[in-house]
Amino acid sequence: MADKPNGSAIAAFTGSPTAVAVTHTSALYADVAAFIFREAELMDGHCYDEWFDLWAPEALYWVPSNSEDLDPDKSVSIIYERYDQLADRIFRLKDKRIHSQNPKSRLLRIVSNIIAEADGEDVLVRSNFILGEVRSGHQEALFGRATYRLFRREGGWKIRAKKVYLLNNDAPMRNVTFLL
Amino acid sequence: MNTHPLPSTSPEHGEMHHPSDLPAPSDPHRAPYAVRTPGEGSRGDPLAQLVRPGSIHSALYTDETIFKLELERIFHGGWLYIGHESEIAEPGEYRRRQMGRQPVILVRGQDGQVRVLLNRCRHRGAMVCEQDAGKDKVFRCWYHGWTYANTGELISVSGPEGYGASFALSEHSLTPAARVEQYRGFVFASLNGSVPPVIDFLGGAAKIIDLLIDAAPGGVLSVRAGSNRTTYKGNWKQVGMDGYHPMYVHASVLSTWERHAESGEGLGATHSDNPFGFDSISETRDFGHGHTMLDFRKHRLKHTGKFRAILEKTNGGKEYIEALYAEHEADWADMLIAMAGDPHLGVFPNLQLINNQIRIINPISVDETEVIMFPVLFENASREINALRLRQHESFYGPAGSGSTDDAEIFERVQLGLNASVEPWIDISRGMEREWIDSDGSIVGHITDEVPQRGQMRQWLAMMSPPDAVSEGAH
Ligand code: FES
Ligand SMILES: [Fe+2]
Repeated sequence: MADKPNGSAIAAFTGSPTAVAVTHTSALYADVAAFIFREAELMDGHCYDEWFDLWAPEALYWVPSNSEDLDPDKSVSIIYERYDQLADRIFRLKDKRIHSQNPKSRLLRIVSNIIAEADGEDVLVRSNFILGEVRSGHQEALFGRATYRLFRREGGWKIRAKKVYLLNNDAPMRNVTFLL
Repeated sequence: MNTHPLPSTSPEHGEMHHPSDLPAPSDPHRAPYAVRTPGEGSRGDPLAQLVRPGSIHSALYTDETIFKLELERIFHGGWLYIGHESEIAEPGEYRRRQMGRQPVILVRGQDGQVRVLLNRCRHRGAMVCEQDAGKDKVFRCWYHGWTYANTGELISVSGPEGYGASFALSEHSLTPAARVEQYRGFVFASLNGSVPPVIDFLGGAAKIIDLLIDAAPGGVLSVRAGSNRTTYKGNWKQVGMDGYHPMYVHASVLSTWERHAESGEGLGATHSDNPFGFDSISETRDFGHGHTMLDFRKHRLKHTGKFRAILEKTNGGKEYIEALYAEHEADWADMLIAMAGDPHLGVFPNLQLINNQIRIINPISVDETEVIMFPVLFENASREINALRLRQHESFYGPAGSGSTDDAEIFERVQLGLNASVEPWIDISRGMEREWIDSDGSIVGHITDEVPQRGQMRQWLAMMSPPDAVSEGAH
């Protein structure tokens, strides 16, 4: 029914023909995995500035709606942001008048099934997560798959693009205003 | 006001209960049905006692018996928005929708006609359409294999020899909604046949819907961009039309907009110079039948340059502007550009046209509601203009947007607060002293006034009370 994606957004999450799998026993894999776990910790801890610091200026942050791979220029997403809009999101998350995060959600996520692919100077990473959220005495469990395009800089890895596919993205859902 | 009391019975749904038959509530503070004060302007109708000129009883938001009556009398008793014809542009395309408690299928038959059919096999009742959306020539029931054409007709049963000569396929079509009518591609249906034509039901709201339709070159909307589906633990009536809350609920968003009011990428572009301020020239408007509007027309006409500038730097924007001026009188084209296709209209009870979206409100229970947001694209506009519409939508709406999430949060807090029903009255009197009646009969107030709340409650009462109790209208 929906058009197949043809925007540059999709390419950001697709390896080029020369991309090669990163073996699980390599130092590169361990390095990437450590980054993914660190990022999860920052998100669970609502460390907004530190998390935002992980992003490169060409940032693309995408949480699709209804499916995993729709053309974002033709189909609505839950989040589709570049660096400037992501900066707004962070600005607002730090404002205490963000009622949907005041009080903040308590978050705990389990990240697993990490698969990496070296693509030129980038690394494409895919991981699955289970995210438990407790807020105002109510518990939600979210399941998802995150896909990253990372590249290495002096200080470590930077995120060029991140896509978060929520398994329930075609079902009625409650607020997901915390970091995904 | 020109309300249209609906008949209290519909053949499909049997006798309705008179409110006086209702059981007395266990908690006397919650819903004083048992309290009858004849002659108090309500002729003893207990529901009418819950709606006063400037206040309403919290039982309207918390009482399960009232919620069941709302389903019967409002959602099963009058017009509901079902979907847009562009969603089912081709024969066989269908969408699953909900009319109160009734699952329905919005489908374009092979004959090209748009129908709304109850999603229930005429054999033993299984749902015949399982997918949310799709395209097919038939609906096959997977319980025993009865097969229906996409026009609703039963075309075959399995093992037909088991049915006698008196069994007629033609008597077992999928049940259609009693009435289905469109307004310029917006499909409405009613399970109650005794409703006025949809154009009369819409009344003055129709030309506000035009603000969206005419903003699309050629008047062609495309509602095929998927949806954001959200839910909150609160009563469905909380998704009202309220212009008093943004400075509080959306304070953090207003700060974000102020940060770059001039760059104009987000919604800030069309919400410049705080349209919600106490000194704003924006208005609220009540068209009757519960249809209400946050009327930004005067405000936006003053700020039309900003959105025009965004369009002009967007690929296809100049052509878009030219198309609107070629198709419409200059005054109306000015208005269309200024409003940016955002009517900010609520059509009672389940439709809202807000910003770039069509929004359907589904009541789930007395304290749970589903809101489905369908961004609307313009079929004849550039990819970039449509992408801009999507980005504007996502920035404020949906389960991770900056605005509707804080709205949902507040709705939940209201629902919790209303449980404190020792003093059960909710005040909706703001602006009663300063509202005025426009030449078209609509009631107008300041943007922060509770004109919409009063208009919606007037219609609520007209539909909830038996006709004999509201013959004079419930103004
Ligand atoms: S219930 Fe549908 S065929 Fe039996
Ligand atoms: Fe709001």
